[in-house]
Amino acid sequence: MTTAVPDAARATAPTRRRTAGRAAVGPFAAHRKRLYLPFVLPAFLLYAAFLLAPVVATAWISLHAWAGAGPMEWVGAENYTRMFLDPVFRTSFGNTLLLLFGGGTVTFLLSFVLTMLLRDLAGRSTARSVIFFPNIVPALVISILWGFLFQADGLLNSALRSIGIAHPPAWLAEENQFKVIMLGIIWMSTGYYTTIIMAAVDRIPPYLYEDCALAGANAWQRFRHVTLPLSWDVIGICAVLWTINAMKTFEFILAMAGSASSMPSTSTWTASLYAYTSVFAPTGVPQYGIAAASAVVTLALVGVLVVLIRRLMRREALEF
Amino acid sequence: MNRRLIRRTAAMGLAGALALGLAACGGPTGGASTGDGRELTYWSMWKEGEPQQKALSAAIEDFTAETGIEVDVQWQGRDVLKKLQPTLHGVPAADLVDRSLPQVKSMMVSTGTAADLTGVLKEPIPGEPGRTVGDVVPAKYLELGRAEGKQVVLPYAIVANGLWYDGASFPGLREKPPKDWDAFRATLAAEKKAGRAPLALDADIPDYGAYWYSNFVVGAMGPGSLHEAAADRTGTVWKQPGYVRAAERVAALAEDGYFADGYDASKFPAIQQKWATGKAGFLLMGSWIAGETKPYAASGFDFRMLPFPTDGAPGAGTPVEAATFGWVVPAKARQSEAARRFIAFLYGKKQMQAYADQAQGIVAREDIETAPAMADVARALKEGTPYPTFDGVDMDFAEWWTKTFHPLSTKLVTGKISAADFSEQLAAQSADFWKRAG
Repeated sequence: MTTAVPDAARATAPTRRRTAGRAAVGPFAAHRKRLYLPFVLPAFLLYAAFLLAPVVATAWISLHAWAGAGPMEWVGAENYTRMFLDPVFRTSFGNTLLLLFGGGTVTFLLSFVLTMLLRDLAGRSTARSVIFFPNIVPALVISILWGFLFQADGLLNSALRSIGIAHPPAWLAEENQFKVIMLGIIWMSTGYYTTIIMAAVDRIPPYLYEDCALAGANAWQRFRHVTLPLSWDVIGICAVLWTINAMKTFEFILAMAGSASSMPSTSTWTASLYAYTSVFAPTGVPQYGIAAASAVVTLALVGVLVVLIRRLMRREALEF
Repeated sequence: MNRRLIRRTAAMGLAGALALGLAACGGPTGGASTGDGRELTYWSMWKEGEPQQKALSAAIEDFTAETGIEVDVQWQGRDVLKKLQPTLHGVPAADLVDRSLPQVKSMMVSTGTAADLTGVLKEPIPGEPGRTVGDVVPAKYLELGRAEGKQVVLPYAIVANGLWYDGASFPGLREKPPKDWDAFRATLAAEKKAGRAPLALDADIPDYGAYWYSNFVVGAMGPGSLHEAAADRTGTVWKQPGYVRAAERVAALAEDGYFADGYDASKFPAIQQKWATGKAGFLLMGSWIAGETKPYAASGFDFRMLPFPTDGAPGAGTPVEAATFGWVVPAKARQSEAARRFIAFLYGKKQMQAYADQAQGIVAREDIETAPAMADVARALKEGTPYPTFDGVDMDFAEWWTKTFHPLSTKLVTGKISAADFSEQLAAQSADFWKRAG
């Protein structure tokens, strides 16, 4: 049976606890209050030093022109205006969004389909391990193999030629390269999200599906009325994870489209690569200000998207 | 939980974060004191196991044995300057590094942290009485290590770009090189007619594609011409006939199908491997290619290099695109004196010969015997006019180079746009770029 727990009921619990805390004056509570700082402070200092400080420093650097050493020159919002006017940034940002939304849609669709197929499959734990495998292998290794697979004389084109296609597509040509990269990322991520969603689906009591079978529900109806609502929270978390991972996509592109001494072509850049190349291009004075501005924009976008996703996906919690 | 307490903790954390953030931006600025000259720290651009590393390692042993100066060496690899950079304004972590001018210019010259090594030219070379460093290093090599009137890089090894080929496939080319591009094009046309791919190029590496336009511009108008156009903030120079003609030369190669199949849709080093196994005639590349492709080259591959044929360039010597690896001393290095002695020691004939033998490359002394694969490079450098790779454009206008030039140049060399469109778009986009860059 599923029971809806109203939001209001959940909200009262912490309130009650808070009131109790404030009212308490016993020796235990006082002691606990004294110990609050010594316990929280070390963790907070570490957090401040290694997470908050770099974020604040990044925001600060984004308002300057700086070569990474030497004096910093205050330029205000100029890095941001320059960046948004830069066609290469617009391409990079467009690629990031394409990956985020286009790649995300495909990844989640595939994950749902796989989840539904694997749910009833015999030996599904083996199948699950197999589809999770691409996620264990480092992205760098996969991207390099991916390159060999898709290049002009690669495995794929050799296979296509052997079945009679004389002119197979130029997968790695500049205009197709980002699409192939997206395909690689989708392939790598699908197993990961399928595994998480399957873990949630496994918790759904089988009798609900039996119920569906008795009522004559088809696969889509089972998915729509049982699987989706009962794994909604987990899907929400997956959406947040995907957003963060997609916005940070970096090493796959660098390894697949670049080489030891050369950056990938600008048509494959994402916002992260844009930030990286602003500082670590093989030549040129490092532009820490621009890189930081790009990082701040990415961070802001991730923040907004995560909040939006959480809001959009908020539902009454179901207990079953 | 106490709200005030939470608020206070949060405020404290934020204040701490701000303070740390600001501290991270500043860094120490104190000056460096002079060392005792008995030791020095050298961070190398080579990695453990590379032939260059083995050669330098042996030289360091000799140096310590002769002078008693201990060298603390760390084989950092090509990212050496990135690793060193954070310490350059305080006490540099190394007293001596080695790298090429583009990186030194970007990381050190721009922040005023590279020492001028002109003085080292007057240092006597140990064991060669009466000879100084300046006497043995040719002026044209020194020029490749200068920036803003300072000798920031003191070259010890040279690489040159040219058209590499297997001597066995093109007999007689070495003895009778084509006098200009048109003559060479006949060789390419004959190859194409015979059903072989005349040229190899891994176009996924934007710099490799850019070699072509760059060499055609300089081959037609001489060293400095590409730099002059790139420095023009209105972009109009790109539309001048000489530059358009260079673009037409590149476009014609793509149009006529002179590059090996798949060159526009492969992953480096696929096409280079094709070339090394005899499936393409010529590869426009730096002289490191002989060492790089040797492990998989066809057996008996006779590495030969043809300097890029001139296309009407003024002046006597053929322009030869070249770069150097050289010594760099941070301006605030504590042991700069010991570093200078070490540099002078390494220019000794015995040391340079040992390095050339081990690394199979060209060194910055002309009286050194070179490996057979480097014979043509040595000759080209001696007879021709070396000029910085890409005419120095990639280092002086790096952002423009990556964001404006590379995408268009890749399209041109892969036949995606015509020469006229390339020139038009390059002019317009360059003007836009400079407007944005201010």
